[in-house]
Amino acid sequence: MSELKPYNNTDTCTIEKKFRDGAFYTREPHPHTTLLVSRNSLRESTDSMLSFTVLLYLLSVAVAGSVYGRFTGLPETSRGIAPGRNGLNFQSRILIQLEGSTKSEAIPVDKKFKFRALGLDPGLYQLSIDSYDFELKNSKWQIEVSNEDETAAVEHATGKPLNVTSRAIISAENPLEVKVVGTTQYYEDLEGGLSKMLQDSPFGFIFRNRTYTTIFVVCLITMALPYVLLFVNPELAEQINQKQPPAKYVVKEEVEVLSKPQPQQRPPSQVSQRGASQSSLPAPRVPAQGSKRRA
Amino acid sequence: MKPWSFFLWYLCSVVSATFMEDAFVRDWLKPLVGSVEKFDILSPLSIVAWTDLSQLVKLNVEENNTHVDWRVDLSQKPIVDYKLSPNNQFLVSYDSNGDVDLWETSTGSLIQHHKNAGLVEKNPGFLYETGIITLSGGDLVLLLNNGDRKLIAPGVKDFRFCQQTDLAYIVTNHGDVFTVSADGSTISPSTVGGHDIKYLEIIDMKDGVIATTSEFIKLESETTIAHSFHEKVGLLSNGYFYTAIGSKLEIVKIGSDVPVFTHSFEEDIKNVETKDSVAAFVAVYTATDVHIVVLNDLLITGVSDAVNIQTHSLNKAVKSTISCNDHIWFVEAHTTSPTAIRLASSSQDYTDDKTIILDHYSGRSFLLVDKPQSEGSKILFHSVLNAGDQFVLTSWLLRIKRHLSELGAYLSSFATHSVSPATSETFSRESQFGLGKLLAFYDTQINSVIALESESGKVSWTTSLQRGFGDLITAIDSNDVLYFVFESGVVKFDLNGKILKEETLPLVRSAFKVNGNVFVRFANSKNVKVLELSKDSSQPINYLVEAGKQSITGFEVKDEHLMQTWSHIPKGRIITSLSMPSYHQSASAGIARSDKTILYKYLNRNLVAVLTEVKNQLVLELLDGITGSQVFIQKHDVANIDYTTISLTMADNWIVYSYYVSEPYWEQRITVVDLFDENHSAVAQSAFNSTSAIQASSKTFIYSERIVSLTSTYSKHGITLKSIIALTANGRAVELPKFILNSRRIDDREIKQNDLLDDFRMLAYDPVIPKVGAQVLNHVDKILVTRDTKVLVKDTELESTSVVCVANDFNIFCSTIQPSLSYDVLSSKFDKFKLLVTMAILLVAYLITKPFVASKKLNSQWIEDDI
Repeated sequence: MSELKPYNNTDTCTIEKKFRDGAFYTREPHPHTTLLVSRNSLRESTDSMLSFTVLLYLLSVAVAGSVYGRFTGLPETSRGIAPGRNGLNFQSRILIQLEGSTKSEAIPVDKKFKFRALGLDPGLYQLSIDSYDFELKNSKWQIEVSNEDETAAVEHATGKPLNVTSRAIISAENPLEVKVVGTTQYYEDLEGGLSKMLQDSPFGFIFRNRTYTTIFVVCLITMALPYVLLFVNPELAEQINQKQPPAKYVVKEEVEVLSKPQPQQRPPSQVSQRGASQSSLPAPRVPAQGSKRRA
Repeated sequence: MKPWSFFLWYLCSVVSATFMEDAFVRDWLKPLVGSVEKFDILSPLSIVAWTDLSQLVKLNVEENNTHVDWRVDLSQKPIVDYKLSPNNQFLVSYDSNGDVDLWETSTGSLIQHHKNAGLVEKNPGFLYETGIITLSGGDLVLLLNNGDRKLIAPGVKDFRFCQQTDLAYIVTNHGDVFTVSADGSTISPSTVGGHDIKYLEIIDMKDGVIATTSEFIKLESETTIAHSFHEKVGLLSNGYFYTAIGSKLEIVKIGSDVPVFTHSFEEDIKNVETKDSVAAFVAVYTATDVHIVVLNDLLITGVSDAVNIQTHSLNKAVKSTISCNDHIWFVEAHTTSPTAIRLASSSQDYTDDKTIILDHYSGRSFLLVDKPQSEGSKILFHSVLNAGDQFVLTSWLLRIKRHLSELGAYLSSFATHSVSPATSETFSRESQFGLGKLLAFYDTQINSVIALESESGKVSWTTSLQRGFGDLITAIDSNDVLYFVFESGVVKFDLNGKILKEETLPLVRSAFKVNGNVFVRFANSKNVKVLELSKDSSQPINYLVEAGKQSITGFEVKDEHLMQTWSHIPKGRIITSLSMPSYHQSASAGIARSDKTILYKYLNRNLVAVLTEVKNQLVLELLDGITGSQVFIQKHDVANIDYTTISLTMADNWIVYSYYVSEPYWEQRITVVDLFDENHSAVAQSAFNSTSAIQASSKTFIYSERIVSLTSTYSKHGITLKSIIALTANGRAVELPKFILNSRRIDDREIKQNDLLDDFRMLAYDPVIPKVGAQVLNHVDKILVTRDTKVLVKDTELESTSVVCVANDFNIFCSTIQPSLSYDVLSSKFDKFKLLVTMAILLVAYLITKPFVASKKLNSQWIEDDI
């Protein structure tokens, strides 16, 4: 009969078959229960003690100083922050240390970037916050817990005196605001290197001014368009070419005019470059002519 | 495409291939999570686990890629246990301090933290998604939600609960029913329909229905419906229940006598489990199998046509779960070893089998040593080093030959698509310049010595010790030999992991290396044993300094016996002490000042620094290790130093130490002492007739983070700058250049031109050392720091570069540092791509403009001709 172990909870996606302990959803008593019974039977006999425990227990939160805090100004998305070993769990990479004369403790930060420390005795404490991923505006506070259990926080930048004017009473309603001013850059910025290189080049003035850049780009496109058109749409290019007969005609004419009288004069540029040592050239007359003219 | 463009493309590919060779990132962090103590399966792809290192981790297994998704370090908390929420989205952990934490399983973020919630007596339950209902503090039923804690009922020994949309019901062992809303407000005990609920008769509670052995009680309408199934009953959603009698499973609507679904299995039903949300099913366990009865449509429509049954064989020895995403999976997992979990999942259509292997080392005595070099590479390296001594033409020819052979090796590796060890060794810059090291350590769990490669973190070799010699005392490396000294023996390894010698010794107290000689000191006597004798006999006498809690003693090692030469008893308690590391080289004897005088450094290779605590004073004493004479003393009148956080490092002519004070403010201080010799003599001096007159300058700086340990870097010849690596409490290994921690920074007047010329990068004194992200060696990878975390530094053949490793139980991190930047090696930030793009653009520009130039020249010729 006891083999049936119905599972009591709603919205579950997984059934676990456990071999270690079936507590909570089994009917078998919890291993601790037997111990509890004896302890509780003692307690039941002393009702006053019980109510005292409850009272003390519930009051323990209300009395004594407490620090409430939250992070503000966090980046909207995780953009710009390199995920670390814990993925995007930046909360786990925040170390908050509350140090006092009697005790010091590490305070965890929850998913909403809130933290709190309760049950502080009157006295002075230092709250130091270090986030692995975020730059904070201020990372140290002096916490003053008065005898009336009022808690005040005073900004205390490293190596500087207390910023007394920043003293503020903190409570659950008005928590201490830890301002995030940016994300920590652990890598030197490699992005933007190309644009920086362009801007530092002799033609940098073009790229520094928006108007010049626009003009430059327009010119570049105008120059490149005929060539691009030849590949993209040769027919259109042909049409455009045909629509510009005078220019074409002139060029043709020039070529004709130039090439007719002296067809053998094409080599001079090569020859003049290579110099007189190249005696095997077919027209030694021409360089002589050129050099003569230059002289 | 024209032929030349092919050629260009080929050229580009070859060039980039050569450059990419060394374009990998040279730092890595290996998180060590420990061995698995308890785990739960979340899905066919992931599990959460609790390890012996008090780490709560989520492990992800994808195709050939096992990694730690997140981990939460709870080593500060004595965690008792954890429990996963029914929908797997949350996880509650509780410790013996009475703290209860709720975590989100997808990210590892802390959702709720309840301090002093009382010792949890019963495995907690979940209400209203993130509400934790628990029996704690003895006999209190508490609801912990949104940071609040509400007392539901006192004096309770046990309870059951269920939730019906926005109301939860809790039945205590007294039979009282409490109605609890999401904010924790409670409607005090009531009876249902005027009759008592017998707690022991309750079998199941779900959606506001209690199933007892004889009836169903609907809490909302306060009605009861009798049944005759006794204990073989369980509740489903939408008012259905199931019964399992013998081998028959029936699904019935409450109040109806006719089952909507009936199925008989081949074997008797042992156990039934159910769940409903994305997919509703009943899992029926028989002796050998598990049958998953999918009820999605049935519970909504009441029509049994679409019921589908999957059967999987059951293995009692492994942990199993039924998980659903797109399919309903049956996942089995078991630990094949403390560090490996095998995850086998099967659904109707697919099966999968994966093994998660956790990186886990319990490393002690980490050593950073050179990699073993092959004879060929030694000769090659030697020829490169001595190239300057040879005749210009010979060395040029040798260089050409070497480059051609490298090119040939590379091309042949390119052609065969496999890099043989020989070619990779000659070709890799890492091996040529000693940039790759071995991180060797003793693993206490598997009684082995393991060496990891410092560039990649891969295991280079593992050698298990056949015999146990007791606890490890220390490890020493000397001349390519590793000595692992145990309580009752020593094991000698070469750099390839081969055991050269195992030796049993009487009870060992310590081991040390002096002037290249390695000694073992025995307990209860002043006898030592020589493990290795240095070939260099220029240092005939070996001195040893030993620091205890109260005194410091100097010894001379003579004929395997220690002879006490001096003893010093400081006024206060010794906190820490350090002798000048022998492997640090000092290349310069002084600082050349602007007026052409030299400020000589006080360089004493036998210096011993001792930090003591005398009342409210922190005292730095510097002793000469050979004579025992006190050469310098400095006192700080600081109250309330946290003596556990003091760290000390020294090199060259300076000593740097850090301490955390709580008065007048809590702050981390770093004190720098630079020693100069006013009476420098050009003749070499012995410790016994030294004429040095020490002139010390000292400055104290403040760092914004708590520092756990300080280590000085060093290079082969000591020419380049030194940095101090500060390991901080929040897991950063920060490289602080020594020129920032300079005691000669001007604080009492305006900085002048001469001051700037006197010192390298002189700055005006500012006590606060700024935090710079780029100085963090481990970048975004946070290191989990413990108090005994070691920072290891090793020089390379390149003067600019040293290898740094940080190792402890929780992680191993290795990187390289270049305090004087990368003047002799191409920086990893060097943008090869940009260089290639620029080259390509220039080439294209050249090719484009070439015809223009030719035609322009032609034109000019014609124009000239016309004139």
